[in-house]
Amino acid sequence: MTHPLSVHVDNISLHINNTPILSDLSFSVPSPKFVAILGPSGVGKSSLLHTISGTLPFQKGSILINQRLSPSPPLAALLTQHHTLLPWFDILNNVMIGFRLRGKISPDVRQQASQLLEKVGLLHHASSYPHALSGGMQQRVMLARTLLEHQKLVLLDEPFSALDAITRHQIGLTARELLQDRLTLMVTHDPLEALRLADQILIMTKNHGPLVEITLPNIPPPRPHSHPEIISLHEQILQHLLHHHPISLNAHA
Amino acid sequence: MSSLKSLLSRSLVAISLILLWQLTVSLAKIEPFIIPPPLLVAKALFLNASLLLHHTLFTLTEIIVGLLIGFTIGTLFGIILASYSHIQRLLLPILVISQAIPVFALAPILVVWLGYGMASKITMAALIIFFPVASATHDGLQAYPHALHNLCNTMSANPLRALIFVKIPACLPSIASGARIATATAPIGAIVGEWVGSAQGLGFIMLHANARMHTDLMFAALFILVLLALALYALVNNLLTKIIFWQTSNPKHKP
Repeated sequence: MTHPLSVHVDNISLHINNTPILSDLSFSVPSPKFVAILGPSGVGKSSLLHTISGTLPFQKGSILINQRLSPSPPLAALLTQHHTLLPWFDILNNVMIGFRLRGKISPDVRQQASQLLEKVGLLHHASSYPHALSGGMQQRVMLARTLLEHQKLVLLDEPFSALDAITRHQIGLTARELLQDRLTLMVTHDPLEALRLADQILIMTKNHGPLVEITLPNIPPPRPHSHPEIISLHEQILQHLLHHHPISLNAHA
Repeated sequence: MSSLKSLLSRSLVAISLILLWQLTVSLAKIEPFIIPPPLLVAKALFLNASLLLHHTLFTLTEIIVGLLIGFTIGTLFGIILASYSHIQRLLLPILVISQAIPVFALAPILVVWLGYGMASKITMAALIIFFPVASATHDGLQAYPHALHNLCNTMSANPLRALIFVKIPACLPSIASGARIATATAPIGAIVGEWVGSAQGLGFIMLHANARMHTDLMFAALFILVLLALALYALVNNLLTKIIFWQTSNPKHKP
């Protein structure tokens, strides 16, 4: 049963109401690491994560998670950009919500949830309610909730994009550290975030097909933005994205 | 401090209104059987206290039982409609068409079917609040956020547990607005029921006082009814605000 941790997405296509969302998209991640899928808004990044998580059925192709055909039962934990904490449960119970929904709450789960809250620095807020927390804190609770799911595959859908720069920086590092032994697919539109955190960067442009992998320098993450190689890579990535998504400025012509 | 202030200002408004009423009646020399002055109403209230109390309890029971039955059935119906799309397709048109029948037009038939006692009035109150509650619950469940649906799916939630722990709490604000409307309209159902045919209740008192030109007694009964409705609404609203404690931007529905 112990398959090596991996994700293989092979030629998947997804249409919603006859609108093509994903077309012949492929990529493959063979071992546990932190992978960033980088692309501009509207390119279908979220849809890709939702197909992998099993919440969006796709029409063509196949997704193999740990050699198993997705999606049922779900093999991935999903963390989204907008907070989906339940305001009627306190923070501890929000972290344990998966276990409550499966009817599997035990003292052991409770303890693990507390430990995770400690790791994200919010144990003293265990009995607070979500609306009393800041956006960054809410996102950390969501991170703890995602981690408690014990899924080897974790999908992060622009998890930090609604946060301010400093909070975002901190949570990114925390997330990377806590997700060490898992395979993480993080969707982002921020090249610098990807360059700072990811072990592998895949670029997603509107034509899809096989995703392009960026060759990263031999600097272990978290990589400083000021490093010359990172600066030049950032420039390369931007050029690549601009090439595929030319911005038209002559709207008034 | 501010609650004391608002209480003071509200009492001031009430007292001014009563004074204005007294003044209008005296200055315009309106006959007491058309509009009785407030003092006469107070006297009627005082002299008929035990009679009024008896009938108030009768009406109050009708309102509360009708409210509970109508609210429970309405909520359950709303949940079932929203949960099973084929039942919704089947029943929603019937439900909407049924609303074209004025509920008041059913009151005489209810009296024929259920008699002059409480049953016909309770049914009337329950009927009148059923639709707003069912429709508020149904709408709330329809507007259930997709993100929460996805959350339950990725967590392999047990459907019943997802309903209890996520879906229903998410819809409580809509159910609550249904309950508020129900609380405000249930007294109407009970009173109309009493008007059509009854031997007890505030509606019965009003009808009889009216027929004998005891307008002061009629006003006294009306006064109690207003007080009753306001108190019930305040109670329900308070309870709902406590239950849905997370709704911070709650519009304060204070009477």
